[in-house]
Amino acid sequence: MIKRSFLYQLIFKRTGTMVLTAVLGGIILETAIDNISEAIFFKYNKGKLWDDIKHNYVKDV
Amino acid sequence: MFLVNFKQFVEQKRTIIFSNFSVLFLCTADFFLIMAVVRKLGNIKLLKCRPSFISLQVCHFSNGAGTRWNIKKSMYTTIGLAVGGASALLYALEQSVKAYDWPLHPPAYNWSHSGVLDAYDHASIRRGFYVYKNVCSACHSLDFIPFRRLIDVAFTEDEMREIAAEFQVCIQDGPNEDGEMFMRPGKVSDYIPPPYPNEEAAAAANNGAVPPDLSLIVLGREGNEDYIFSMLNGYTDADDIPAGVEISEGAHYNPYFTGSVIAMAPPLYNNVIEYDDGTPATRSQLTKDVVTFLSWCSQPEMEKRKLWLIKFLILIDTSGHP
Repeated sequence: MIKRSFLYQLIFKRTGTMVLTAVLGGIILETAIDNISEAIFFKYNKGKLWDDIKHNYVKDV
Repeated sequence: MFLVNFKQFVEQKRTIIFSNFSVLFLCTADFFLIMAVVRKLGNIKLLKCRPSFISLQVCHFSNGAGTRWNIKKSMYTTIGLAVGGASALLYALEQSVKAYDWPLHPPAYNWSHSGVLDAYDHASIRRGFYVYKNVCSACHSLDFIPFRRLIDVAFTEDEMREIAAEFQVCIQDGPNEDGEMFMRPGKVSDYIPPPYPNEEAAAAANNGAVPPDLSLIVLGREGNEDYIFSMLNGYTDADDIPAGVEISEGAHYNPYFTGSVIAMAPPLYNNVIEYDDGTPATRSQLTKDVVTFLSWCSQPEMEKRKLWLIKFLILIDTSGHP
């Protein structure tokens, strides 16, 4: 209950802060999920992807 | 010709639907599972009698709604059973005897990209493109793949520029100042040029049989990668052709091909090309690589799709109480 009212006072009471929280939360969540799932995918497929074999073919600049 | 194309089109769509169907089913099952677990846990905690909050007991509230909860529960059960039953029926239809025709069905091979989260083996795509370029492209077009799509998939941009420029004779452009069409070296923005200008020319050059376009061939054939692999390796020597089968001039016996008589000559032999990464170019290696390449051509978005599956599952699993 205490926690809820704290959140209410801080965020949900005013529309401005709530929208800001929603937008920032969306950006943070999306970035986090993107990074986590890409890390899982790249780790699972290590050695097969283009990034893993690229160094054989890129000529030195 | 229209009918054949239409049949191929329907076949492609069907395969696409079924390959995505399994992923969709997995997601639905996962969703219901999470929902059931969360509801179960929530119930245990909420319905426990705690003496300190007698007046605010949640079980007080839920007593009245008990029947509603039961109705809801049975609704979820019904939905679950309906979804499960429908998927079982579709799976059974897909996996039925398939006795409508007489080709030999290919065995299921363990492809490096066939798992739920498996990406393509990009070294194999690279080798497969060389096989296509040096062998298949003599007769088969690859109409839907531009050179640029291979950049950062199997080739660097500089390599792709050189490769595209080698396709000089086939790319027509124009008109120039004199109003004439002219030939020019290929660019990375060009689509891979077809070997024949039209189907009639292709038929005339190949004894009346039109070599199909390979862009979507892996999705467009029953058995997908397994079929292409088995078919390319499944040519039978003249001595081993079953008794009673008549093979006309220029045709070949291949038990995996519908009708068993195929106009294409066996295209791949040991060491028909040389790989730049030193892989021994045996026939099965060449076939495996070109099938991986063609599979990539059919669904270049596959890796993105599998990445999105992970994202989707994380999002559903973390989205809390449904």
